[in-house]
Amino acid sequence: MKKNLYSTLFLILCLLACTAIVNAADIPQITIGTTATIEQAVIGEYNYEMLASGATHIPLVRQDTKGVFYPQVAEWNTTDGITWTYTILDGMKWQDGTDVTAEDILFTLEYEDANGSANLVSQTAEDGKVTAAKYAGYELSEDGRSISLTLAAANVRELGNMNSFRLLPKHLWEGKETLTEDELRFGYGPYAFEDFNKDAGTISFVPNEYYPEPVHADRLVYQLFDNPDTMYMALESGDIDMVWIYSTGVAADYQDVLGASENVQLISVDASNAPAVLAFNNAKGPFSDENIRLAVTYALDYETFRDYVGSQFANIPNGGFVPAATIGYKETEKLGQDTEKAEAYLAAAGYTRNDAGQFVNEAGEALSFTLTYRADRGNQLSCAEIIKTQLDAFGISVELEGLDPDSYNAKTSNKFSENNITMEAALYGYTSAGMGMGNGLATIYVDGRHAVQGGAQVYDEDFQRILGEMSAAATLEEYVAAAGEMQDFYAAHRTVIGLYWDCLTYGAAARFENIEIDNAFGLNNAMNWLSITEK
Amino acid sequence: MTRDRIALLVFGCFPLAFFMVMAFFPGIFTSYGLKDMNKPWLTPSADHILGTNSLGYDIFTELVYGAKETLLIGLASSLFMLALGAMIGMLSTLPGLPGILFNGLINVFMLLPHLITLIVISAFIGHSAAELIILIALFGWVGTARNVRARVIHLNSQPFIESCTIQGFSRIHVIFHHILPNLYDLLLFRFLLGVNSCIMMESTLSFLGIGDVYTPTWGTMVNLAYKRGAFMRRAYNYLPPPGVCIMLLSLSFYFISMAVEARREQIDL
Amino acid sequence: MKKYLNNIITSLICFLFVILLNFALPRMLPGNPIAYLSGFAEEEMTSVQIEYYRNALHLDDSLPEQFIHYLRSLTDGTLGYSFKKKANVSDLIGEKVIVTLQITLPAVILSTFLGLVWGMASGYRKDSSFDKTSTTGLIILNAAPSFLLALVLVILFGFHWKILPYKGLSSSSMVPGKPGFVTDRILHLLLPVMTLVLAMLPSRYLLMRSSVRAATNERYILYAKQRGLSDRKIKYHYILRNIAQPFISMVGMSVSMCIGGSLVIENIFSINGMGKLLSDAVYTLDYPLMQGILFVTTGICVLSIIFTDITCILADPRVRYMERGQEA
Repeated sequence: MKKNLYSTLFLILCLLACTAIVNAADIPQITIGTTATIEQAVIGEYNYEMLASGATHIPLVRQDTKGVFYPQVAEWNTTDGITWTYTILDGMKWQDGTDVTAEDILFTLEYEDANGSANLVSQTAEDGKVTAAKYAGYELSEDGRSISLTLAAANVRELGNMNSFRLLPKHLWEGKETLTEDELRFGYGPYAFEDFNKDAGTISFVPNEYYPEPVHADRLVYQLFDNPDTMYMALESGDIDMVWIYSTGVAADYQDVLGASENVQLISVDASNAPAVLAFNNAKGPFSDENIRLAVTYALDYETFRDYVGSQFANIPNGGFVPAATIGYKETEKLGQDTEKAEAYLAAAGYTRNDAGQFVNEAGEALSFTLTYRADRGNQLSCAEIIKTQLDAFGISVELEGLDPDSYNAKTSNKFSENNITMEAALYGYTSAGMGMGNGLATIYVDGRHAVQGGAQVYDEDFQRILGEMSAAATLEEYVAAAGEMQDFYAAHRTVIGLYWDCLTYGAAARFENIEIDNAFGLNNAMNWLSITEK
Repeated sequence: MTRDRIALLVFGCFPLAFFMVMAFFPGIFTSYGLKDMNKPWLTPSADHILGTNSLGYDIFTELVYGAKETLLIGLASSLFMLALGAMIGMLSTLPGLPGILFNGLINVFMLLPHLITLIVISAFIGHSAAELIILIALFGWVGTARNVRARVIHLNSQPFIESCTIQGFSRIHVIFHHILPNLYDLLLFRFLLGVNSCIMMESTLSFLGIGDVYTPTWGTMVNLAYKRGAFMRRAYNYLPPPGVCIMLLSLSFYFISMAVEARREQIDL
Repeated sequence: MKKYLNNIITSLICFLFVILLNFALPRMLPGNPIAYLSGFAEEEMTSVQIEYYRNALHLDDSLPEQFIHYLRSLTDGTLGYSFKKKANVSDLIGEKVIVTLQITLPAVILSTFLGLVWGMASGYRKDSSFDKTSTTGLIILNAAPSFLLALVLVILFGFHWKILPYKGLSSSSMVPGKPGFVTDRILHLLLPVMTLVLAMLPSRYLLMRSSVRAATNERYILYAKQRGLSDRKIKYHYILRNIAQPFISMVGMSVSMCIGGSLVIENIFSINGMGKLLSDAVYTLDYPLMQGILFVTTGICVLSIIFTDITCILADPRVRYMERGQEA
């Protein structure tokens, strides 16, 4: 009798302990605030896809803040950097219980091709431009769980493209002309779509019962906000649990207020984006003369940008332009103010100070340029003002041109200006995805031949040669060597400069711990929901 | 000059004179430069009467320099509006097709929704001070035009105009020597009223983000404050003062216009 | 009567002209609308997709043909199709108008009613201390810009005393059908409506007051008082009828404000109404949406002007008699 009693008591204690553990791990709901504009909440809508990357359509691999890649849906294998074999992890299932297989990977590639991407087939644009296919061939394994993709050319950084590769359901979508909303939201991640309430501005998700690991929150709710001000106030007052804006951290203006609040914890990570870039038009206008570019970059006082626009973690960039967290980063000389050098370069360009303090050339024309920036970006506005104040005092007159997004794009990128970029100098913000695209090192923004970006309009032969070396690199060492050369090029020719480097700061409620941050998606990633706990 | 009228004039002119001195001699009020960068987000203190904003500019200095911008835009657009309204109003009284066309123009502009059309037009006109003046004047002239039209129609039927025409004076002469002088009091009244509405319109447009940011007017100051998180910081030294200044300025114009109207009423009686 | 008929016909002609303007204005904005349909996702739009959008937006057709398409879209009830938001323009406007109306309709009704009663009371008791204090106070209120009022109210009620919510129309967990939804909605509406009422009240009050002041000088008011009619009867049966005309016109003008919404208020209180819809349309060069909004706003404007003109004719018999007197 006593033995039975003790064993029952023991069993009850165990059960209690189990429920305690389970209850301790179960957070009833996590509310995430975001300023993204979402109209329909379906795959195909860019902003929703970024959001769903943390809930229903998680990418193939993930990258942590130190740059290390981990398998998330598939593991990878490669010997030469040309053929990559992806094997779906055990237990991955769609939300109806069907297994996720490598056929879904193939289906996704083919589906994107049908909508204009150049994965397995090359595409011809209406003006005759041909985009070559990325993959030369593929091979599915017999059990359907692996696929080997052969690239057209070796790419040591291929994994960087896979950390935003989302799968589409072959068994559900194949052969259908139009898809219902439910089909467009059908996913395989740790959560499944529950509801999109447009009036209240919420998108909610419930756990996917077939996902192999248990999530720690019973519900995920994304709350849409119109402006960041109200969102940060909601975080401060505890209405929401964390804040997420794709590829952007908490704005520097708000960091000290949020940091002082007891409800909020701020997590800062080294960033590979460039929050404020001064890009010159190297092909047209006054900055096609390298001396003038160098002069302006030596005339600016970078400490002002760091102190007034950046957060407490900001620091002054190097001439090599890319921040320290970038793959292939090389130490180059820090940017700094040197008015004597600036004057010397201006003299070399033919400009000297007249009596009024203005720089004029022999014909008496004053040196001036127009600085274009996006009027709705607060940090660009501040930087533009500071640049104008400093250069006006130095003797170069600056005209500010703050534009709305339409007009700004029409002046600063190839795609929207129809290959006629008219800015003389402009402020940009480069996302880390954009910096890493193509051959990395923000080359898509600098290369004048890039179809979409190309703001800095560089057509220089040296630049193209180094670019070729970067894309031809077969090993990481070769790539790093070429990247180093590119950074030297940036430092020497000052085609674009960063105004300040900053960390990406993420904001969450103070009561959470074991937070996992993804390099591309910040707080909104699957790993976070598997590890986060409340204190 | 009744006691009331004197009181009104004093109440009106005093703040206006104060702001005009501020506009022309900003150095008297503040020793800081407009773009001097001090420590950001300071609270009001002896050094900085209203504290500093996110870029470290002294807020009171911005207010002082903003007086010039606000007054400039308000007065200039009101003048422009007045000229436009008077011209179109008179043109609409012409007999025949031109008159009907201009009258139609007045009615069309009355129908268009103001703020919305302004926003669409500002998207491709630009944001500088000159363009803002044009934008504000673009709708304000309608009221003036209608009043001018009514008055000119009334005048045209007066005997003394008829006798001028009979005596053989040209139409131009009649307009400049007889009709216009009789419009002066109406134009003055509309001008003062117009400045008020121009200042309001300008501050609303600036608040919505359409306006020159480097030399901010009072409306732009509120916009910048709002966008830079002044709410979150409970920066009550930053948000209300420009709006209060706008209020004082428009009150002063209103009182002056009431004093003018009182004089007109006296003569009529 | 004839004058009003002329007015109505002129309004209609001008409306047709405005339709033309609505068509032309968006197309004058800089930029290529197709580029914005694909956004800035740093990927190219394929030639197939470009072709599709070019056809759908009729960008290849000549201007007159585009205009015919535009007219057709006006008459078939959809007001066009917004490719950016992937919905009919009329549906989009319908959704957002309801949101905006929740603020502007109560504000217009309240401010009109308050202005009427208050202005009547002040004008009737000319130069009393009630009149003087009310008028001075409301003149000062009139001078305050609307965003200043909004900011002060938000600071007082939202931050300082913390009794009213200051953003949005509902708390994040509230949906229709849940208990307490209506109370929550009313609480959220209080501040924006109060702001609008305070902004619109002074002009109505002042107009009412000056008309009543002028009217109380008339002899028939003196006779009515002599006969012992109560103040209320004099005010609302005699004076109001006579001075209705300009007041009704003013109310009519503000109806168009109802639809256009108050951009400033929506901005400060983060309300997703017509104002946000318009700025979205302008930002993304969404031609159909821009045209639709301008069309609807102007249409309501015209209708309200026609309606107020008719109401004036009906309410003020003098207009009818004047005409007849002239003809006699």
